[in-house]
Amino acid sequence: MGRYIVLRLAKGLLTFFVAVTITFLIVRLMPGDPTTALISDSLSPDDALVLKESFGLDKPLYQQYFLFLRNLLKGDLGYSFFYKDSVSSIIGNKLWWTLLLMGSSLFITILIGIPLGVISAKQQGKLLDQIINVAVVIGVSIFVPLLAFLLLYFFSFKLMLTPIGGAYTPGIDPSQMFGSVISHMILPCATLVITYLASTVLYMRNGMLDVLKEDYIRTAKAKGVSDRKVTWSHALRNALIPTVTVTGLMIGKMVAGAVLTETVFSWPGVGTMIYDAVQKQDFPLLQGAFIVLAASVIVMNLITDLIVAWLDPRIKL
Amino acid sequence: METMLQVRNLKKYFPIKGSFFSSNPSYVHALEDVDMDLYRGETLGVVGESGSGKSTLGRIIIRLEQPTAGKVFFEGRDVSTLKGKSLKNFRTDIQMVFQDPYASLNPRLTVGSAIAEPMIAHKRFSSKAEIKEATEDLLRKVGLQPSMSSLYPHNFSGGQRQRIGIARALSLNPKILICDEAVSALDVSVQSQILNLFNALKRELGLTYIFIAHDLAVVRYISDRILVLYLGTVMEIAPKTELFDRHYHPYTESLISASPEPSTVKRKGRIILSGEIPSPINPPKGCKFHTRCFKCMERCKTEEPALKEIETGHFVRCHLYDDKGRG
Amino acid sequence: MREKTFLESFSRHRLGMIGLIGVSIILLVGIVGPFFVPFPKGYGEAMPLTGPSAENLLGTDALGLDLFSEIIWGARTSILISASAVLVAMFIGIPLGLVSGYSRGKIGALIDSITEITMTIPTLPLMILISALVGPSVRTVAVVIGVFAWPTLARIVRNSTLKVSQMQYIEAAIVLGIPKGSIMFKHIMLNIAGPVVVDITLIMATAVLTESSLSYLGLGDPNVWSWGGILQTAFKAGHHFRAWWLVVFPAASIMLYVIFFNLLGIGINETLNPKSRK
Repeated sequence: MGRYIVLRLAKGLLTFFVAVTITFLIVRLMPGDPTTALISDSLSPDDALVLKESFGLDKPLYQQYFLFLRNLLKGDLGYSFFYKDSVSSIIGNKLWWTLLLMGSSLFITILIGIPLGVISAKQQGKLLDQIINVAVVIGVSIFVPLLAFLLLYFFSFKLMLTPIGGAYTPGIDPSQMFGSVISHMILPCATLVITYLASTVLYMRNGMLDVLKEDYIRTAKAKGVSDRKVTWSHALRNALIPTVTVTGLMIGKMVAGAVLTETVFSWPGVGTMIYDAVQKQDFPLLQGAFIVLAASVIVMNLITDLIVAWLDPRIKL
Repeated sequence: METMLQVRNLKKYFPIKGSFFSSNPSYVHALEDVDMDLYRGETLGVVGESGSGKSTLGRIIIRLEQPTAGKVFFEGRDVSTLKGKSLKNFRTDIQMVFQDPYASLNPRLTVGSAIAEPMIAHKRFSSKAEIKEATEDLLRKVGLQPSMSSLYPHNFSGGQRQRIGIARALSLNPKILICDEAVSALDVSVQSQILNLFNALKRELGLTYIFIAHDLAVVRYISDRILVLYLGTVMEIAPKTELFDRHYHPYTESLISASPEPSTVKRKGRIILSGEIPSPINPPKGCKFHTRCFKCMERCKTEEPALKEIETGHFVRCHLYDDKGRG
Repeated sequence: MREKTFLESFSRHRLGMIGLIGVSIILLVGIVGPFFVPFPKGYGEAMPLTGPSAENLLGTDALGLDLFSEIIWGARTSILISASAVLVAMFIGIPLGLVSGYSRGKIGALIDSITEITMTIPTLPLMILISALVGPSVRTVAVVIGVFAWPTLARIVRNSTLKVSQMQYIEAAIVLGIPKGSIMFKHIMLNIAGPVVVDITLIMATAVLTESSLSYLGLGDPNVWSWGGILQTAFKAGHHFRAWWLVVFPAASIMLYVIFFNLLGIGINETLNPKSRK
């Protein structure tokens, strides 16, 4: 299709390429024998040898690199020490839960964040804006596990309104699955929304302020369009663009929050998996987790950038 | 008279951003074939409108810019392409006083540090005491008190800051000082003080000046000889009194008539030039001034005149005097 | 004409002053505190898992050790790690930013690309991978945080340098024959201090969040006390519901540290550019 799409795709691929290369280098160049990082010592010597060859650990570095890339393209991310299964299949199951959580949280954050940002920009200097500013400062300082814990403590433990953990009640009737997941998702979602709302509002506010300064607002007002209409139609359209851009930024950050939140709520996603993997020193799983998460984030960023391009009349798709 | 500085065939073109990739890149023709001599002990005034290239000339001499073509000779040596150590040594021979007293001093350095810094960088002295003494001496020379060396630029007025800038420029004992619009940003009352300071310092230290300005009155006050620039080309060079008594070039005439300074020649009335100053990206063909010249002839539109010495030490570039003098 | 000094203007900024006071208290507690309070180790004399009381201001942990002492020693760890991370970031980021801003070569574009990539990819999983491989320690965590923080700092330094390079006093320095290094590391540095200091406070703040997260996940240095580590122990052993003080006090310390540094940064930023907010 258009030139922009091709360029943007190339950029995404390059970013993924860099991320993956960094992973490769880290594991191979870190102090200590890469074998311990990639192959469990509980395997029999024969199995270990087979794996060693497939990784090419006895070969020079650049050959290892190509092997690594080739495996990657096949979807092979190594073997988990603990689960004794391929990393890809383990992560595959859990990725969806994480994406569900992140996606819903992102959606709600945007839903609340945009209007708040607009209000804050319009009310610049007045009391409401100041309150929002203070809230933002606190918001960006939130330590996710604490917030998660507080919500869990009050709503699940003390008030017993929501479940203690997991994504759904085990053994439940399939017809009630949806409701169960929702009820389990409320608190983790709330945690993420509260955490990232602050940045969203901040960036939206700044985006709106920049836009409101532009000359065409003055022209529109001079033409006699009502003040409210000016704000919402003209400015909003163009301020959505920085917001969507910022959303892209925050997708990457939200991963960190998701990882931490999942552990508190025992949400069966990649985050909890990472936590377990750390305890068990399951390095292939950790490596795979990063690659998969990086890929997800890059894809999501790609989508948001394409949406921005579609919205912005200046960019020719 | 000893020649200190010689500029030969100096050209400076600035590429315009973005045009680089098109088939026809555009350039700003800042300087076109400039020849100039500077004699020891004189003050050469360089005057012209904005866009005439006068600042560019100063900046090339002082090596802030590189010439596109042409050479600069200092005491016989080619200094246009100096690098490294020899460039650093060259800095001790020639220095600059800048235009904006509010921007030419680092706001975070005390006045004393700013003056001492070049001396330290060039390893002029070995002890702190010597440097301190030299700094205080310089402050005194420019009419400030030595105790001021611990103050910051923002404590001073514009005129005082220029004095500090002069002290700093003199810290390396240069032979030539280029003053790039050094009084243009000052109040008129302060201007004369600073101009007098320049003159006093010249006598006391045996300096040679290139004084760049757009204000003819200022140039008249301080210069021994004057060079008139228009659109990057030298139009007239003459000793001061001669320039004002017997100016030949029509551009000079219009400049002088526009200046509020009374002249000894009876003026017929203010000459107002027609048209706007042409763009330096696309300078006019032939004589650069012909589009605005009130004495323009057919010849001027197609053929550029050469710079000719009409009288001893008096050069003009104009077809009106084609039959006079030596080319 | 005397301009207001920076300190005078800053003292007017309420939030900034709160930040400054808070940061000072934290620094005092973390640096001086450990000299007055013994390093908690082994088994404590008090009853384990008791709430705040007169003897143990903030309660005790599962080993009977005083939580208050743990918090103080944890403050030292947080300061140590965030300051080290800042130093790492500065060591790499400032020279790169200065050079690319002053010399304006291809390095500038490279720095931009690196910054963008670091901002796009999720860094926490990568930090987890690195920490797990190398082995958790104060040094590892500090270096890892610093390594991910330098691109943003470099970008800020570069943008400020680009602006300052245009000033006439820089031209004057060139004409006076001041060596390039002095121009960059003295003349320019002195004039870009503002935005750099603001970013440093931000790095300090986020470093603690990152370090606490890593400790909470079990990647903290086992030989030191860290607020995140206290949380990790409590969660892992399942004490978090019964002994709320083991969660609330460390977590509150973390948040206060972050908030105060953020406020300080905002205060400095708004004092330097009054137009940015109002």
